[in-house]
Amino acid sequence: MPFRMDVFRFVYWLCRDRALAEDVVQETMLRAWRSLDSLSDEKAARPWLLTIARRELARVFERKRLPVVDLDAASELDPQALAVDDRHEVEEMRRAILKLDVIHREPLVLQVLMGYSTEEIARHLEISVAAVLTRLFRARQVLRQQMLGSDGTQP
Amino acid sequence: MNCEQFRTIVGAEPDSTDPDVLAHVEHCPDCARYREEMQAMDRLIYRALAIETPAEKTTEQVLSPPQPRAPRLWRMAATVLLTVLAGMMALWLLTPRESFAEAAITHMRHEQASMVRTSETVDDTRLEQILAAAGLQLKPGAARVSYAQSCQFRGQQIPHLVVQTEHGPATVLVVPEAPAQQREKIDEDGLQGVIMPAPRGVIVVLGENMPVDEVAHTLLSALQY
Repeated sequence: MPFRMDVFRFVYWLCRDRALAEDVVQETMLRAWRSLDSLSDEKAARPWLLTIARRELARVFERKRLPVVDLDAASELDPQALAVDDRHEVEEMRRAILKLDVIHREPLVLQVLMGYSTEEIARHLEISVAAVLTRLFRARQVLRQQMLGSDGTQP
Repeated sequence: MNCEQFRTIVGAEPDSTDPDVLAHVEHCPDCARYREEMQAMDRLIYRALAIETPAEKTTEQVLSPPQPRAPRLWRMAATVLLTVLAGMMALWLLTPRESFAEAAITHMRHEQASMVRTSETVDDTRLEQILAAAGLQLKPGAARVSYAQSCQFRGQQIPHLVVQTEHGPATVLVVPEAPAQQREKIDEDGLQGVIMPAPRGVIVVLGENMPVDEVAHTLLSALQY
């Protein structure tokens, strides 16, 4: 299924739980398949899937109280999820991203990983472009501070 | 553009191609370096975000023999699943058909993803087509419809809508072919609803913590049969 990898990464970085992300991706693909006729433009498939995934995750959050994510466990005890690169900097950055608030993490994922424009992020999150820019700026400020603080050098 | 404005923009969009940003880089070495640092950090962020996904298994992983216990576990799981399925089928065959209200709730649950609070609305043309298929029209601007499908329900195609209200999303099933009945209230698992007689058949409204009667009346007055 095209975009499955994108959807998985997007959901993972929202929920920070690999097993939950896999479940949500599965459900997302099922729902997408069922409502395929509502997709009028094939070029819009990826944002359409991400929107379905976001709603599905919200539904999961609404329906059950999820366990608190242990950030150490998310970044250390789940090597399958994170061990794409063993470089120290990448690991440090992952830890820093995991600690970001979701309101800062989500637009950052959409921009850097998915290549969304600011306007597309604003539409996806249903907020203003100015609010998106503020969140992106804040996200990078926090990451920069954490990275500078972690080893005293600039990234 | 001063340095502060530059850094605010580049802090949000390191790859910004804003002409003012590019012009500022030309004559401010400090800001040019800041931009390069932010772009380098973005490359690092990308690498950090690009985690391994379930679909990215290597050839060795795919071709490697399964764990010794796995086949047995799978057989046991399959046996349990078949037993459960057989039990469920027997139960289904022995159980009377679900009521109209239960069928409506089941149908709504099946398309639960549509029950989200959103400002997006469906395309007017699509909505018209779905309603027209059931011989219906909705007065323009009468409701904010965020989801519209033509669904199979109890042997007929019906318009399945989600209407955005100030209390949240409400599912609306317009069922033109249904036995005449009195108004019926639904209250199940935190879900409120009403089945309301309509000029043809009934209209079903389901939602959580909302005045479903009010929504039903509003739609009935806006629908033209």
